[in-house]
Amino acid sequence: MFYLTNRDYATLIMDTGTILMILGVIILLFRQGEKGRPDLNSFLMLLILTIVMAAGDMLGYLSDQKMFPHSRMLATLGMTVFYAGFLLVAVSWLHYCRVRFKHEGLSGRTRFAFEYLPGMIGTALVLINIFTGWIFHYDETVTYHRGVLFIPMYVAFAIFLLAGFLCLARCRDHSRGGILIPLCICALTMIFGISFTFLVSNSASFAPIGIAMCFVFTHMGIMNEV
Amino acid sequence: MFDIDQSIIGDVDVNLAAALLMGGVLIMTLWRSRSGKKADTIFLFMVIAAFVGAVAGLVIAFFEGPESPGSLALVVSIETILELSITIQLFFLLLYVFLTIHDNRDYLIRRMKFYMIPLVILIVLSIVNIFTGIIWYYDGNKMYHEMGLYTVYNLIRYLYLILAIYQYARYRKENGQARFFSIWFYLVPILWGTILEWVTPISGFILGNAIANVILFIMISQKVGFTDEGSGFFNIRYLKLLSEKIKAGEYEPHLLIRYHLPEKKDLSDFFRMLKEILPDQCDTVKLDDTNCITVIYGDTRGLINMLSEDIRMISEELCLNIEFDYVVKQRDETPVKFFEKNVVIGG
Repeated sequence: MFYLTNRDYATLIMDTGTILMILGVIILLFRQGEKGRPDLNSFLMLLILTIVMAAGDMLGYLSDQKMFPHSRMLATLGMTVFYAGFLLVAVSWLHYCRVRFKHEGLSGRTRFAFEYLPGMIGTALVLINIFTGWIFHYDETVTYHRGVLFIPMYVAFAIFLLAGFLCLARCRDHSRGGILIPLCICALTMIFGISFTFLVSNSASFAPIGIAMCFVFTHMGIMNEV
Repeated sequence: MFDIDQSIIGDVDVNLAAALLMGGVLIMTLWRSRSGKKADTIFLFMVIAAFVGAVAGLVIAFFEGPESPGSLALVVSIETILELSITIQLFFLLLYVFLTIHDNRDYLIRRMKFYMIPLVILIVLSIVNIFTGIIWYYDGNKMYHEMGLYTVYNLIRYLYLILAIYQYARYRKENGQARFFSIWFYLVPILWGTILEWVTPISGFILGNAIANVILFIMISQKVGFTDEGSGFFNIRYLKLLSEKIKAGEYEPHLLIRYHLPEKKDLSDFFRMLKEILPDQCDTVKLDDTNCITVIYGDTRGLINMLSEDIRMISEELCLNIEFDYVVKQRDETPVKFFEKNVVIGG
């Protein structure tokens, strides 16, 4: 018989909540009916990746408690999906910010080198982590351990996120005043949520719900201003 | 590194996430709030109630249990605030739904006495419960217990949710689609949270409630994005969406009214009176400062003469020189062709 701890329940509730919230937003976007806008397509991709990330997190936590046969393999798979989603979400966020405000700071190969290449390398590292355990690994008792690249991966994620925010903040059109407040709210919320995860021992992961909230509010904040 | 009791960590996490979500919605609502709109004010009150509930849920996690600090009276007070905030929030939801879909304050004022009865009963019960523990109570170890009356208390509270759904369903049955608002988006996270509260040891309702409010806020944001602030009608952004809905067969326009509005005149009274005379099954789009159109979908028999007379009367009453003309859809014309022929999308 498996045993879910208080923290596992909290993570599952927050992950399913994230999926529910994102699904609601996707349905609303479709209902709104402004099809074909490049920024909306890019935002949709961001939302789908967030769902993938939350689903991976959920699978990882359930397998963590040996709920299924081959739990170690499933837990590794779940967390691989989570971390790959994590990095792809960061890259997509930057892409979305650039498309939304038609930011032309970088071009051609430079953009590829700074935007997509680190994301691709990061995703490749996450995928090969199954064999190397550089980011995380599960031991024989299906207990989770962080690897040497765990902190650098979070730093890379934060850089992408900040680059996206910078892209929005640098925008010099009339919408600038309109986006600063949601930007500040979301940045503070994310910082607080992630700090809580790191500072409070054994607390649940705030990543999916914090990220989902950040994107949804920022999008809603800027949507009607431009 | 801070250590929090592992038995409460899940409750702290979930309630913190809910409080963050509601805090975000509250700040965004305050930032967006427009004065003079009753529905917006009601929504703000609803968000404040939900935020207070989420914060109370977070705080109480730290004070429950025999090992936790704080007195029994403090825990009971916070729990009472939590329960009352949920009740008040659901009451405001009903008012909000009413004002959003009906836009009829007189009817709401008439029904207000009836709507207030459950709220008064629940507030009285909550206060009585502090001293008697007939609904819920905390024992000497500060452990929460529910009594049989709690189910009845919850049912009375959910009456507001049921009434809100009923109002929405009835409006939809009578008037077709209610654009930019669907109560099902609100209901699903609430039900999800309630079920989680039954099957897990963690109170998921507060988070479900917060997610429902986020989604409702997004729906309102979308509506605001398509609304002309001065007139309250749709703005030019809505035209493209309307065109897509007509192409998809969701709406079938039969009549188009084009208004030529005078420049540099206060038209707020005209728009207010126009709303009162127009039928329910129509959309009015303000194209620019001097042009406005109304697309009518339902039965138009006898409507042209009646509307012409009414618009003329309003113009004379307000001393405004408002010109208007009609285009009726011919039998051999498709709705798409009719719309595209008479309305220039994007300008």
